[in-house]
Amino acid sequence: MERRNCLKCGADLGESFRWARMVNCDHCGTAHVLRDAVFTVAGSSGVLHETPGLVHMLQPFVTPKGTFDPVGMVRFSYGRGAWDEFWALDEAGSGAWISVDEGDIVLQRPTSDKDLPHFPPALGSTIGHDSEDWTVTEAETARCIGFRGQLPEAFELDEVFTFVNASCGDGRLLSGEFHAGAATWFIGPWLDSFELGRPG
Amino acid sequence: MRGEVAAVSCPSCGAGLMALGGGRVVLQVCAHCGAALDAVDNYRLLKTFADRRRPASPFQLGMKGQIAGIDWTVIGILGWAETWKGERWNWTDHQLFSPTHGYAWLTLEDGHLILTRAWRGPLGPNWITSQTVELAEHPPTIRARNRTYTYYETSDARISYADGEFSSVAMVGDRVQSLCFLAEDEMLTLTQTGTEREVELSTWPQQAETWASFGLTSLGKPWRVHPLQPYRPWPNERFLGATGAVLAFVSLIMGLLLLAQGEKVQPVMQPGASRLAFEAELPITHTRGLIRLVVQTDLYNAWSGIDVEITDPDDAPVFQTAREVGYYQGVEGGESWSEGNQTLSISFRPEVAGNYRVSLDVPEGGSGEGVEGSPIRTMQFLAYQGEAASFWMWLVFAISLPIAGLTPLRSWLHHKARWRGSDWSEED
Repeated sequence: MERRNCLKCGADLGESFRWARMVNCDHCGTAHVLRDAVFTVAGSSGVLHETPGLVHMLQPFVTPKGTFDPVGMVRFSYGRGAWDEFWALDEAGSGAWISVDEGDIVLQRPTSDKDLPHFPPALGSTIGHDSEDWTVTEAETARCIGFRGQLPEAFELDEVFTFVNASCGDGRLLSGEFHAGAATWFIGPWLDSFELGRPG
Repeated sequence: MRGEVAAVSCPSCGAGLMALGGGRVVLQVCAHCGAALDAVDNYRLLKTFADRRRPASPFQLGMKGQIAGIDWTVIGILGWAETWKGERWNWTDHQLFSPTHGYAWLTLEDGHLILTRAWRGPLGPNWITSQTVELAEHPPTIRARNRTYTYYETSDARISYADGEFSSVAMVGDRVQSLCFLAEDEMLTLTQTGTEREVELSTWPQQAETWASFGLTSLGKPWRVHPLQPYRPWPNERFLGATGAVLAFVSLIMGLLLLAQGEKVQPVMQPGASRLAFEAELPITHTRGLIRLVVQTDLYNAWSGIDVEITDPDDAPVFQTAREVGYYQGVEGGESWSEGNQTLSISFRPEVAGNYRVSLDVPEGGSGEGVEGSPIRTMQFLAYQGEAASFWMWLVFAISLPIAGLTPLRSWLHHKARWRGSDWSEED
């Protein structure tokens, strides 16, 4: 691990970049950003350092939609940050994706893509699904930077794909992922991070 | 780890910038020169705001504290101003970041701290516009989180100051119109900017703990009740209220029971020296309770002096008294009024049973100033024995009733104070 120094005052930044992409100098407060190699890749599944979060692997948690046990996890980078997708089993053993991004948490399951586009719709456009009009509120690219545990599908490290998020105002999120012309759609409710708890 | 490390500096003034927020920060405003930078696009300069006046807030960028058990860092400061009908309101929003719970706002308004965060759950109806509010005959309501939120106000505020990092683009000078809906302890705020709709949920966190967790002391007791401020009973208020309610109930029952005591005595009447004077003999059969004498008159807009003398069965005087009765009635400004009483009531405790003698005379009387009065023409004399004194019960009832009503009254006043700032008017 290389040690770094503050580019403003020269103070030692230590090994902070081992864990974070952006580091403030303890001495002068100036932020430093690592422009490449945000996360070191080691092995085929990537290295996933621990980040603060409400959901952790193999630690069941309670939501207003039931209790879930995360058995697998994939981390995606969207450039400025990253979010985690947990494959979690409910009490009936049925799996669902739980997306966690800095307090924004969504519970989603696959949905029929019969009436949904196979290519990414434009930001701000409207698509029809499940008798609702959905407005695309986010359209970006993401890169898979690591995974672990039990997952329902194969993931490829460093694979880049486009994703969109769409809302219809009823508390659900419709998400599409686009890999080389193939689209996969997921739908489900937002979960309030303030309402998550541990069983018992 | 390989990779190029770059210091994040303001492209306008070169000052080093602090990066305290997470990956969803989209805007950074330089604290030194006021340059607004695009945090998504390599801190590209978007705009520069000169002549900035920092709002009076003790919170500083980088301060850490805990609210609702969650660790937060202050990453941005926004000053707001709203003007309406010549009045001006100012408040300060502090953008908070938590690695586990994301972004929130800590608002400092009139000394109150308010925590606001995004709410993405379902609403019923899905949305309410300002046009809906204007056309409504009753305050519109919105359902969320198993609660009903009632329309409170429409806010049309302008950003007057920005400093630090923000999870949404917030430029000095931007105007934002919001519809606020209030439930018992939460407020929902609906904001629409272009096609983007945002719902926020606000609560009133424990004030002293919040100030202390950020290492600050509060600005003193706020001068007004905040719409989100919960009702805070006084120490022992519940005990006092319960005690008052029990006392009021018991004294009411006791008072009514005591009132029902007593029996009528048939007096033997003899005319007196003057037209209205008389003597009455009262056959008192026992000494339990009180003897009560009642003289009902027909005077109207007039007064009379009544002399009463009572002797016991041994012809010894019990007491002698002079009382005044007066009764006035009229109409003023279309409202009728009355004061005084046409009835005289005297009670005393008998020492022995036997025939008591009552002598009554009406030596003087007159009319009120400027009114046509009618003096006493006829009188009716009634007597009762064995009556109980219920005065003390009614006194206890009169004292305990307000104590019993303390919590409902204070709660109602608090509710009125919370809704005082609402701009809803039935005439709208």
